[in-house]
Amino acid sequence: MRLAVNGVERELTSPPLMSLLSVLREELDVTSPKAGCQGGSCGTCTVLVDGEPRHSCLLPLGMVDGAQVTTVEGLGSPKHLHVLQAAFHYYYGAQCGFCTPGMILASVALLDRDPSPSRRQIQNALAGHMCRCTGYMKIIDAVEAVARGESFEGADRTRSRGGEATPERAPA
Amino acid sequence: MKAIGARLPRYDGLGHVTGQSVFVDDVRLPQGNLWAKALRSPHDSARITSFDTTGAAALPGVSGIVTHEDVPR
Repeated sequence: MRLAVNGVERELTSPPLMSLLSVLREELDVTSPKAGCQGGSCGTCTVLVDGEPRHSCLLPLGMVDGAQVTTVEGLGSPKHLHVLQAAFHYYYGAQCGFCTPGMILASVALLDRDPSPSRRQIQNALAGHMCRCTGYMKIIDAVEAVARGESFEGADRTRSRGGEATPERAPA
Repeated sequence: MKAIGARLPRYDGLGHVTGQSVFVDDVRLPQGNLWAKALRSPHDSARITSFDTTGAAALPGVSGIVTHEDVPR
């Protein structure tokens, strides 16, 4: 099995029925996706697979052989943040930080689909992600700030560490 | 007093948004670490009058035995 994780091709020894979450965390030491509910309900395991947010806890490796996987490690680093990472930091969208990777990746996918979502659309896009700390308002504020074009020093919309952009969508 | 009313960034914010924050389940213990097991008394409300660890220490795979004598005073 192989995956491109944050732009880097990886040959995997994990068996095909191992969850993508376990492959990322155990074999590849990519620990930003979290094992929360491990049943597709909490959103902390969310990664982008070919640009789409997926519950990696429910995805066997064999089903994503050859795919591009993006995690927040692939969006940016502290010295060169993606604009959504900067917004979450600036607007206090992260407290304990456990939901944050999933929230950010779902937001990336949302803004790839629709660069100017309404607040209601942002809420809908994040509906699969639970947060016990912030009360969600600051998270939505952060995404809304990026949606209205707010910029942050040192941050841009590039995926500076190899996180793949959404592939071109076929017309519906 | 300059902190009051100031807009201070969270010390852990950058780690959270970049996936670098380490949670307990993210910690990988090194391979080859030792495992500890407590031996509990099979007798309730008993008083320990003596014990002899030499037999246990001789068992294969036992790296060490810790008793009350090892507790610093």
